[in-house]
Amino acid sequence: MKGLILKDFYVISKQMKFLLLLLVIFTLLMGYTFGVFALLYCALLPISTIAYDERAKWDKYAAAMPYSRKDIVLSKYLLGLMCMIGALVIIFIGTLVYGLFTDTVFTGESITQLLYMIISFFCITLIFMAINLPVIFKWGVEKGRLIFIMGIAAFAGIIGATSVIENTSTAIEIFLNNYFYIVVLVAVAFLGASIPLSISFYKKRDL
Amino acid sequence: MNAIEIRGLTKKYSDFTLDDINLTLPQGCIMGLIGENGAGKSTTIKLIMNMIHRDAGEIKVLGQDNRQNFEEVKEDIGVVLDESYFPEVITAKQVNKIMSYTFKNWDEQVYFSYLDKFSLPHNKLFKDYSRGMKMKLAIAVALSHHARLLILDEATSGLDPIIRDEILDVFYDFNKDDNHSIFISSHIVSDLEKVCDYIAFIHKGKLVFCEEKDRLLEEYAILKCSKEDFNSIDPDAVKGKRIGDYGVEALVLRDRMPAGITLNKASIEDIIIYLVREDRK
Repeated sequence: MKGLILKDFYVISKQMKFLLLLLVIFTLLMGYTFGVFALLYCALLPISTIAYDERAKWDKYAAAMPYSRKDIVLSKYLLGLMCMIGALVIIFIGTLVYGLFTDTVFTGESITQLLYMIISFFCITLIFMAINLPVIFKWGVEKGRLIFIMGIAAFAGIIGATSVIENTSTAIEIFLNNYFYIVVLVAVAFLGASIPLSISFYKKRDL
Repeated sequence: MNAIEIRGLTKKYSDFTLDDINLTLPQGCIMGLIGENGAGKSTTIKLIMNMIHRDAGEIKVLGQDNRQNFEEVKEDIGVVLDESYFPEVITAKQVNKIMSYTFKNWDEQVYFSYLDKFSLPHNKLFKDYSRGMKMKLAIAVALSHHARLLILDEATSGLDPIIRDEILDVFYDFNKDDNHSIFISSHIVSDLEKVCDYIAFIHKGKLVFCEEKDRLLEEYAILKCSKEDFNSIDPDAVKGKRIGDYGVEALVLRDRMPAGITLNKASIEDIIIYLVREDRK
């Protein structure tokens, strides 16, 4: 499986470097806001590599190598998780450094608050990935992308609807403060269901 | 032991059926799978590699059912697929790293010696490779993990004759080891005729024959004669014919011909073309 992940990193190394640069700069300039997009982007990276694979018909080639379908599916989840965790760490540290620049006084409570915040975003993007990957392993990249875009639109719609009542960021903060553990649990549950589902879809697919 | 053993293999698509294929490739031999485009060659190879699901049949590769623990078996198989490649932005140097984590027996030295032999640049992006270079890279990979069986789908098609010859030589060398077998598909009959011990001919999803090449060449012959003479020939011994204004040219079974008649050698290409012609009648 290491070979598969290495191959994916080679494929996305250019866009990764660019994203990393943007992420570091923007986090240092404006805190975690950009990080939300970076996390979403990371959740999309496995799909982008699957698109590359399909175009080169590497998916068929890989299936003829000593890899099982399970290995191939797991490698994509691992790739997504590795990138997202990397982004999470950068966002957290970057936001703290940004705080030092802007003379924010960090207390134990405000750091916990920050962690809650970015972990919540992490979990939400994880849920996106967990929904999206099985769809892609069953139907291929084109349809999967469509569903992902629809998901983002629905999510934005919900945020938009709540922000009619209050200002957006406070609405999100209130939501996450109240439901943090539920969000984490839901993310773990979705991921737990998503992986076996993807494996069973991909095993059934003719390459 | 047999390198590949296929029994009653069937795969149905809405517009095409691969129908009840039976063939055996003994270890140490080269088998060529011949057929027109769309005859079912790639489908057969995908089924051998368990990439697609079958409707019926058994496949054993290197003595093992290919639905059980096939990952282990795949360590010993070098595969080149038709138009299936590395992602565009990968280089030959990166392929080495990827494969060293993919195959337990990956041999970096062998790989780089093939890159040199095929004059493949190490750091050029895969998408900038020519078709011939892409094929050669895939062949280099297939040969660099000490495989015992090569499965090659149209590995020589679309290449110029000089490169094709060079690559056929590489396969020939590989086959010198008694444990090394090759299963190669192509629609270029002359390539297969050069290197193969066995020829399997597949036509519209059905296996027409799977025979030793030398037996085929012995069994069949080309008869050229006048129409009058042709009428005296046992029609059962005629496997295909072309009737022109001046006479008849026919593919016949050599040992069923009357003594003293002049027969010409039939090439594999003749055999295949005449058999298919018969089918069209």
